[in-house]
Amino acid sequence: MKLLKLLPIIIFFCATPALAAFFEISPEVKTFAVGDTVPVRILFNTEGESINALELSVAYPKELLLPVAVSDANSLLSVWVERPQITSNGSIHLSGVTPGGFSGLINPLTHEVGSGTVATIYFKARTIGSGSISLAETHIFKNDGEGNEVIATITPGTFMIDADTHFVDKSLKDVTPPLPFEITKSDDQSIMDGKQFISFSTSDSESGIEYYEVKEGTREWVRTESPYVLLGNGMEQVSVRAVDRAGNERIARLFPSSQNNSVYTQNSVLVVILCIGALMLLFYVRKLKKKL
Amino acid sequence: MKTIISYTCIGILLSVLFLSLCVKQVSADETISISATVGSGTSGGSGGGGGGGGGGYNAPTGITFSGKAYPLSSVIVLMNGQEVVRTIAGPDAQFSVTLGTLNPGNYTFSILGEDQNGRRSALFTFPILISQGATTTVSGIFIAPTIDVDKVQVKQGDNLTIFGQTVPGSSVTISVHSNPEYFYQVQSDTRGAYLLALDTSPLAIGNHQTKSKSQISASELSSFGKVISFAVGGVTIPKDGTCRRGDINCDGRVNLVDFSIMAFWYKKVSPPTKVDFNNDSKVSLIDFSILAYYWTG
Repeated sequence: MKLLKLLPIIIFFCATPALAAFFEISPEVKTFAVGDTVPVRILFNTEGESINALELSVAYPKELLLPVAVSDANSLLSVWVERPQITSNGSIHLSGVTPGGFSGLINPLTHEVGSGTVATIYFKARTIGSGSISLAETHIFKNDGEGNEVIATITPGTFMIDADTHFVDKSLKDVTPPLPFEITKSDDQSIMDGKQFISFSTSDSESGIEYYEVKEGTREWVRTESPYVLLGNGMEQVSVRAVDRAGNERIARLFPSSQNNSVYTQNSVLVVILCIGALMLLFYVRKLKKKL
Repeated sequence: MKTIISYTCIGILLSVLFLSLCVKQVSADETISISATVGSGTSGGSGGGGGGGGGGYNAPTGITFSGKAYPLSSVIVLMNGQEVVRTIAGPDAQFSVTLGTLNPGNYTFSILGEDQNGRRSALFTFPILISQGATTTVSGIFIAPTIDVDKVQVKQGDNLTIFGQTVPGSSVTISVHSNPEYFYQVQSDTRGAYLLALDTSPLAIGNHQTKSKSQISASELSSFGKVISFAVGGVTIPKDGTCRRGDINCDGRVNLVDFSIMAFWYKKVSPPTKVDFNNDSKVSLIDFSILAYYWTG
């Protein structure tokens, strides 16, 4: 068993001075053939600055590349505001936060602090040609409680598509379901019309989360995102299914909440009152009979 | 005969009373179950009851955290922003906690301490690569002190009490953000509690912030912890349990529920002021950044 000690890294990690943050677009291979699907990672290096929120859009030559999937596996962002998605017109946008901040990914094997992955996009090569993938509308915010912005440079990822340099994906198939997670039910009178809603979030380190589905009681599964406003009265079991890009799933269930169980508490009080009343009535009847 | 019937009735009523109090109260507890299913492949398996699914490897893959918090305090580990395990620190504030069933990959872990009064420290966060078959040890963690103040606003010249908890017998440096910044030093007692009666005479009228850090020796020291705000004004306003920044639903925590409420208002018109932290009449990523800063899990 390998034991990796990290104390020196942590000290270094805390003391790293802030330089200039940068994005790096990193295709798995630089040259591939028409019809190949190639993963392209968006990496971010904070150079020691602690950041906790970022958003970006991906800019790519649409005549050469077709985005077929986007993965949030191993993302430095823990909670998504807008999960990375490909829209119908082919644009790709994402935004999210990392509570506590991100200053760099620690590799305990090499003792290095380096870039973190924001997302991985899978592009299919459409036709022969060359080009580059870059980013647009990038906004990064410091982990300072004030939302001050960090300026970052972008290093585009260049590529070439030819007729015969085929890319073979050697990555292992994901057979692990997303991480276990919990469902939290809440309500807030000032928003969502006071309706009950549920919150949930999980991650998948191998292929990334593809989608979530929610099922209330006997209703059908509905594809959705967190938060989800409940349709029922909160007395039904709620299930959330997280499915990763390989089809593995993790289901969390929430049974009728303590809020709704206040009905039971109210019933208990009612039973107590009725019992006391019945006892008093019983003693009164007995006394009355004795007198007679 | 009548007496027997009466006592039988009383017995039945008392039984009903007992059952109504016991059985129904038990059912009032909220329960959560977790199950897992593997889509395809040969080495995977299903992990039930909240355990990890899949794998097929026997070598332990995990991470161990150890360090100092506060005496007999809860030490909570968040993984990707959500609580995954907690432990109790010893009377000497030492703690050690292991997560032993992880899948390889990149994770963001945060460690925080919760003192005897339920106050939570700032997060000690680090993203890390977890490798297959390796147990990573993160030692020497020194959780920053908890901190609080007894007044929202203090009359200029009156005392403001700044207090919290840290490692027993440590030297606590308290910073008061002003112009200039003031530093004060106090010692924590045998329970790790510290207290500073701050004379506000030198502070200007207006808003100020305070934070603290702790030191045992030249090599054992924490970073500065949470930042707490207070005002110096013409009158004293005691603390009345108002919600802290980031705590949108006022439940004492800044977590996924607050995030969800804010997400509901993302890019919508006329959001409530309580979700618009920077008062620009919209919920943008800046508000999420502020929320993430105050996250407690």
